Amino acid sequence: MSALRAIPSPEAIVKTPSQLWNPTKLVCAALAVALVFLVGNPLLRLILISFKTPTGAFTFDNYIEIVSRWRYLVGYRNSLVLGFSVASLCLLFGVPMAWGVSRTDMPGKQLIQLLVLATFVTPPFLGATSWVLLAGPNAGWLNRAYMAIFGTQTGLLNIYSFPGLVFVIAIYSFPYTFVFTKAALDLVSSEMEDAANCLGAGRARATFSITLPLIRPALLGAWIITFLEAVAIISSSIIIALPANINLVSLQLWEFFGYPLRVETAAAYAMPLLLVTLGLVLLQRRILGARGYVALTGKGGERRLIDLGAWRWLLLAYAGLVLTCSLVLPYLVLLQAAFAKAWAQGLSWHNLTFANFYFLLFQHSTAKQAILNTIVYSSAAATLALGLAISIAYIVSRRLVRFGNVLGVFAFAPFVIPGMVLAIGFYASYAPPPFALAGTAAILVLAFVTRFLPIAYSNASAAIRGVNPEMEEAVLILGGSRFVAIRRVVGPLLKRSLLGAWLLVFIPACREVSSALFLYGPNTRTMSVLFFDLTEGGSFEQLAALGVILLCTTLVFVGVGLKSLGRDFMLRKGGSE
Amino acid sequence: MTKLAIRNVGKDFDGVPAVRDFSLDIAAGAFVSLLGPSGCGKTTMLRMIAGFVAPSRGTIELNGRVLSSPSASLPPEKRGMSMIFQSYAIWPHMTVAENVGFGLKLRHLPASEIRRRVEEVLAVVRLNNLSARYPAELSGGQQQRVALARAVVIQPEILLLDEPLSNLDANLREEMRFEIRRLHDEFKMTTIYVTHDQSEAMVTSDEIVVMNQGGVEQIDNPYALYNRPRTRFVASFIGRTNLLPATRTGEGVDFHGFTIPANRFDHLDDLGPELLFSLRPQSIHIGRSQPSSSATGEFRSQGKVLKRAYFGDRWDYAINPGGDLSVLVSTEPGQQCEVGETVWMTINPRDMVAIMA
Repeated sequence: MSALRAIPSPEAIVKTPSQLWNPTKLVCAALAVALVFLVGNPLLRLILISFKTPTGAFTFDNYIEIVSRWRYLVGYRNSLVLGFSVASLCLLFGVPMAWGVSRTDMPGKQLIQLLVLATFVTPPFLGATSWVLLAGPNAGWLNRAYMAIFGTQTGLLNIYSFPGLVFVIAIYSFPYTFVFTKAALDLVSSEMEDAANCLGAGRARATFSITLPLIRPALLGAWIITFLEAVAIISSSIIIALPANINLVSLQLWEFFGYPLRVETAAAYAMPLLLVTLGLVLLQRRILGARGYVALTGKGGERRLIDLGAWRWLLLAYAGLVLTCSLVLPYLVLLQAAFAKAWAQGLSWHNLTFANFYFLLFQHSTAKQAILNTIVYSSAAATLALGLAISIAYIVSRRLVRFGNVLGVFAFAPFVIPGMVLAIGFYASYAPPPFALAGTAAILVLAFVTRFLPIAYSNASAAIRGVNPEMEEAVLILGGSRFVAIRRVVGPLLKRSLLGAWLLVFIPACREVSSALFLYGPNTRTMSVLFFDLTEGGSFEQLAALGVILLCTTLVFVGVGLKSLGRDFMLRKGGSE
Repeated sequence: MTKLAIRNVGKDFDGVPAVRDFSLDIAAGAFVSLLGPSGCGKTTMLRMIAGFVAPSRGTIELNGRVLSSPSASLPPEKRGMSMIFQSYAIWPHMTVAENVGFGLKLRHLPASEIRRRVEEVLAVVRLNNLSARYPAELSGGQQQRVALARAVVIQPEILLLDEPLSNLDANLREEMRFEIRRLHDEFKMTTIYVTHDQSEAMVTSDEIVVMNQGGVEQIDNPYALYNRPRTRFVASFIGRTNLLPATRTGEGVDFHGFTIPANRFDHLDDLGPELLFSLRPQSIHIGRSQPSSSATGEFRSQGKVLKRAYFGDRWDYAINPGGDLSVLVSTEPGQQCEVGETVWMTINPRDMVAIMA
C-alpha cells in the first residue's frame, strides 16, 4: 500500500526548463501555426494583393478599376437587392412552417421536418437545374402545363429572370430560417401567451404581439444568414443569372478568375463583400447574444400546442406547397430527366434509358475520378477540420493556456469569408511558388478545411461544453494525466457528437461549389465542378444523372447520421451555422 | 500528528481576493469541514488543496512536504488524494466496477487485486450487486455511493468532498451524511468536506472552519461553534440567534429595553463599553405569570407579544421588553400566548455570548 501513498520528492515539483515547453504548449503552438496557414495567411494575402499590380508593385489601381466600370457596380447593386429579396422571401417560407411545427397541432410534423432536412441537403445547383426544367420559358414543364390548360402560345413563368433567381435561391435557403425560428419558438413557454390571453388578447393577437416579438432576435439572425447565403452563392448564379444576363458579385468574381486571370482585381472587388459579411455577422452575433429576452432563457413554463381547428389544414397545405416547390417537383423532373433519352418527351417506356448513367460511369473521361475525388477530399477535409476544431475547442473551454481563446476566434473567422473570397485568398497564397499548390488536391482539401472549420468548431465546442470538467478532474485527482483524461473519458463521451459534427462537415463539403470552382485543376475535379463542366456542352439528361449520383452519395452518409444520431441531427441550431 | 498544513494561503482572481490568509493544521484521520455561504472561498480553498488551483500566497504541505506554493504547484494527479465532486463526475460510459477500479488501474495493480478491492469497497457502500450496471441505471443516492467508493478505494492521502450532497433530495441527504461519516470512521481517512449546509457540517465533522468573504471566521468543534460563537457572522450563520447590542453603564448592562446587572456576567471587564451579545431564541423562556423563585443568577423582564408564528413543532414569538427592542423567542408548541399580551421573559445571562467582532 505504501507505493500508492508515495508522494514525489520536493525536487519533482520545482519547475524544470522542460516544463516551459510541456506537451500542451507544443500542441497549442502547432495549432496556431495551422490556423495561420489556413486562415491568417490567405486573408492577409487577399488584402495585400488587392493593393498590388500583377508584377508586385504597390498600387490603388485595382480599387479605381472596380468603381470605374458601371457593370461592376451593377453587380453589387444586384447582389444586394438579391440578398434582401431572398432573405425576406425565406421568412415567408420558413416562419409559418416553423410556427406550425413548434407551436400548433398541425398534422404531419415529423414528415415536414424530414422534408425540410431533405431540402437542406439538396445542393442548390441541383435545385436550380430542376427549376430550369420546370419553369424554363416555353419548354419548362409548368409552362407547358399552363399552355395546355389555357391554350396560350407562351408560358407564364420565366426562370431566367430576377424574380426567378430570387425564388430558386430562397426555396433552398429557407431551412436556415426554419431552424432558427423553430429553435426560438421551442423556448417560448405557453404561459407567455396565456398571460396575454388572460388580459383579453385573442390567439392571433397574442401570437403577433407577444410570441413573434419574443423571437425577433432569431428572426433577424435568420434574415442575416440567408442574406449572406444569397449574396455569396455562385452555383445558382451561374445556372440562372448568367443566361439571364444579370450581373452579380459572384459572377463578376468568377469572370475575373477566368481568362485573362485578374486575381488582383478580384481581390479588390471582393473587399466590400468581405466587409458587408463581417459587419452583418458581427451584428447577428450581437442580436443573438442580447439577453433582454426572458423567453429565450429556456426551461420553466409549460408548453401546450395551440389548437388551430380547421386552420391547421390550411397551414399544412401551405407547408406542403413550399416543400412541393423545393423537393417534390424538382426531384420528379430530375429523376425523369436522368432516366430519359430526351427530357422534354416526358415519361414513356421508349424514352426510358440508363445511357446517361452508363455514359458518366463508364464512358466519361473524368466522372469516375470526380466521384472518388469528392469522397476522398470531403472525408479528408472533415477529418482534418474536426481534429483541429476539437483540439482548439478543448483548449479554449478548459483554459489550458492563456490567450487560448484567440485560437477560437481564428477557428471561427472563416465564417465571415464567403467561399469565393476564401478561394481567391488561397489561390493568392498557395498557387505561386514556393508552395505551388495550384490545381492540386492539397489546395482543395485545405480550402475545404478552412471553409468548414467554423461548422466543425461550433459543433465541437458545443459538444465539449456538454462534458462537465469535473469528469476530467476526477481522472486527474485519481492520478491520471490530462492525456489519460482525454483518451479514456473525453474521447468516449464525445464519440457520438463528433460523428455528427463530422457528417455536418462532410455533407456540405461533398457539394461545395464556390471554393472548388476557383481552385480545381485538370485532375482534381469534384462532382460539383464536373456538374458545371457539363452545363457547358453536356446535356440536361447527363446533368440530371450526375445529380442523382451526387444525391445518392450524400444520402448514404445522411442515412448513417439519421440512423445513429436521431432524426434532427442536421436541424439542430448548432449544426446550421 | 499534522497531516496537512495550510500556511497563510491566499488566492486572487484578477486581483480580487477569493481566499485570504487561510491557515489550518489538520491531524491525520481528522474530519474537517469548510463551512460558509456561497462565494466565501471554501471551494477555491479545496481546489488549492487538490492542486487544481495554485495559491497566490502561502504554502500547502502534506506530511511535511510542500505541495503548493506561489512558485510551484504539484499537479493534482501526483498528490495521491481523491475527491468527490458536486456533480459526482461518475463516468457514464463505464460500469460501476470500471468507475471504481479506474484509480487502481492507474496504479498498475494486477487485475485480480483490482477486482478484489473493488468488490470489497462496493460491499462497504452496499452496492455489491450493482457492479455491472451503468451509472445511468442508478438512482442519485447510488451514484453518490459510486463516487464515494471510487474515491476511497485508492486509500487516498486525503479525501476531499465538494458539496457532495447538494444534488440529493432532503431525505437522502440526511442518510448520506451518516454514510460519509461511517466511511470515514471505517477507513480512518483524513477528510476535508466543503459545504454551505451547517447541519451537514455539524453532523459529520470533528472540526469546522467557518469562512466568510475569503477569510476564516472561527475554527472550532461543532459544540463550541454553536454555543460560543466568536464573531457576529458565526453567531448568525450557525443556527438562529438574537444579536443584541448593549452598553455598559456603571453597574448594569443596558440592552436598550431592559438592563441586567453587570455582576451576572463573567469576564465582562475585558471588553469595552459597547457590547454585542448573541442569545439563542430557545434559551429564553416566557410565561403568563411571574415565575415564583429565582434560580441562580436568572434575569426576568416583562414584555409585550408583537408577532407570533406557529410551526407545528414550535412557536416563534417576537417580544418587546421595552424601547424599540424586539427579541425572538422560541417555545414549546403548547406554550400559547396572544398578540398584544404581556408576558414574563426569563433569561440566564450565562446563555448570552459576548461577540468579539
